[in-house]
This record gives sequence, C-alpha cells and structure tokens, in this order.
Amino acid sequence: MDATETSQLLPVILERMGVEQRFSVFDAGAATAQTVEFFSQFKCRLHFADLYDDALINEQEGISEEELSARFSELLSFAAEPFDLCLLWDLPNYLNPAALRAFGKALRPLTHRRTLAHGFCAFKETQPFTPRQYSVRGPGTLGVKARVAEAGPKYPSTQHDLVAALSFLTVARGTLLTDGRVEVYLEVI
Amino acid sequence: MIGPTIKISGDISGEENLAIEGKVEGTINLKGHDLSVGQSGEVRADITASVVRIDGEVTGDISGMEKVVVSKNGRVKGNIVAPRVTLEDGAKFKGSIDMDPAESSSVAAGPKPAAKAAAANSDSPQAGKAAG
Repeated sequence: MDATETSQLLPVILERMGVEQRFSVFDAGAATAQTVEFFSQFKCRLHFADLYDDALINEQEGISEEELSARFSELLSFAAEPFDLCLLWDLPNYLNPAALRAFGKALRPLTHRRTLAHGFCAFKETQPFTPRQYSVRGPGTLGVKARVAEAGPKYPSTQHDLVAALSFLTVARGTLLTDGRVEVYLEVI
Repeated sequence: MIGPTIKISGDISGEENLAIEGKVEGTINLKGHDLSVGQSGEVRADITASVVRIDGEVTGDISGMEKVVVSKNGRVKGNIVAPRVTLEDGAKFKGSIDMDPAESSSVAAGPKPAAKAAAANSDSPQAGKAAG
C-alpha cells in the first residue's frame, strides 16, 4: 500500500502555527522523502525520532513508568529547541498507558504554550490499527504506506485516553474518519 | 578517494572533492568542495562540505554549504544543516534537519555578511518562546 489521504486538520494547524517565520517540527515517525520535500520550502528545523523503530516499543511491557520516561527523554535528547509542531501520527496507539504517560513526560519540556500537535487516535478501544508509515506530501495531503516491520503490540487510545496521558495537551478539534480513526489537532493547555 | 579497506582516525581537510568507501572517524572539512560517502563507507565524524552525498553510513553532524543528499542506501544519525536537503525513498535518518531555502540563493550569490546572520537570529520567533 502506498497511497495518499486527505488531512482536514493539518492545513488548519499550519495556518494557525504560521509558516512564514522559522519553526521547529517534531516527527515521531520515520524521516520520509515526502516530509522533507514538503518542509524544504520553509525555513525550519525538522526533528525525526523514528520512535516506531525503537526497541523500546517492543520492550515496554514490564518496564516501570519511571524508566520508560528516562528512556523516552534519552530518545528525544537530540532536540535542539522547543517544538512548534508535533506530528505524533498514530504512535500513541502503540504505547501502553504507562508508556504513553512516560512519552508525554519526555515531550512536555520540549513544547511551549503555542505548540500544536497532530495525530490519530481511535474512536473505540477495539479499533484495529494497521501498521502505517505517514508522511506530509502537502498542506492537506498525507502519504500513507504499509510499514515494513510490525510496530509491536497495539493499544488503541481514544481521545479521552490521549489527553489523560498527555495531560498538557487538549483536543482542539477531532474528525472521525471512515475507518474508525479519529484525526486530532491538539494544543497546549 | 578513501578505498574500502582504508581506515582513518583523525581530522581530514582539503581543497578538493573526496569520496569515501572506507572507514573514517574524526572530522572532515572540505569547505567549497564535495564529499560523497559510498555504500561501503562508514563515517563517524562531523562533516563540512559544499555538497554532501551519502550512500553509506554516517554518524555525526553534517553541514552542507550547498546541499545534502541521503540516497536510498544511506543511513544517517546526526544533525544536518544545509539550505537544501534531499532524502531519497528508502533512506534512513534519525536526528534533525535545519533548512533555510533562502540560503541557497545567498550561497549562489557569495559569502553572507555576518551582520545578516546576527539580524536573522534576533528576529527569530524562537527567541521569544519558552519551554513550558
């Protein structure tokens, strides 16, 4: 599968963030040619963490939340500045509740009061998630392709689960998609 | 060219283009010239060059005065600063990419005055943001 899908919320986020001046982006997924190409038209710094590919995702069970937080902090230690935009994709659905809270604790110091975030969560906890790699092809267009490697156990998170774990964020808007995913636009409380 | 059986540990600088197929550890400074890291190249170094093309493995910070290209076989872990960065499909990258498309025209025009760089930093909205 190598396809595109329309994003209703990413254009809203980019307009609110403003792309005329220099900005900083955090991408929780893999660095893709399309995302780099899209953002290359702007003065910006992209941070690619490729967290899906990290062993921590497969090892999260049995690790204390404190250690998970330390490990996520280490994984995000390459950040050179606070993020204006966080592209979370569907990563939260691959993290158990403790790991999601730990991720939030590591991410929070790298945000500021005007940070915005984009991601996908589940309408229902029983929502199945197909492993996908996302990219930004245009302001309202995402690239979607099947992930080569299975990301690991899946923990579908609803909007409620998401903001409960990432307590410094709130859902500004959510859009229910036809496959049961919810596209969300988050802002710092 | 640094061939596939060559290992170098230290600082490399030069006034010509360089191709690396071996192992290099240290720093590489080829301002005004191009560097390519071939598929068998393994570089653990901070790199400064005009055009940097990576088909192998690089761990370190990369400064491309003109551009940086990570090919489909390239694997990079580090920070890239360049006016133009291209990742080919299949390239592996972890780290940050700092891009300024306006720099590419100034690079073509010649050296940038230091005062312009200082003014750009003071005008950055990043200067007014605090982690929260």
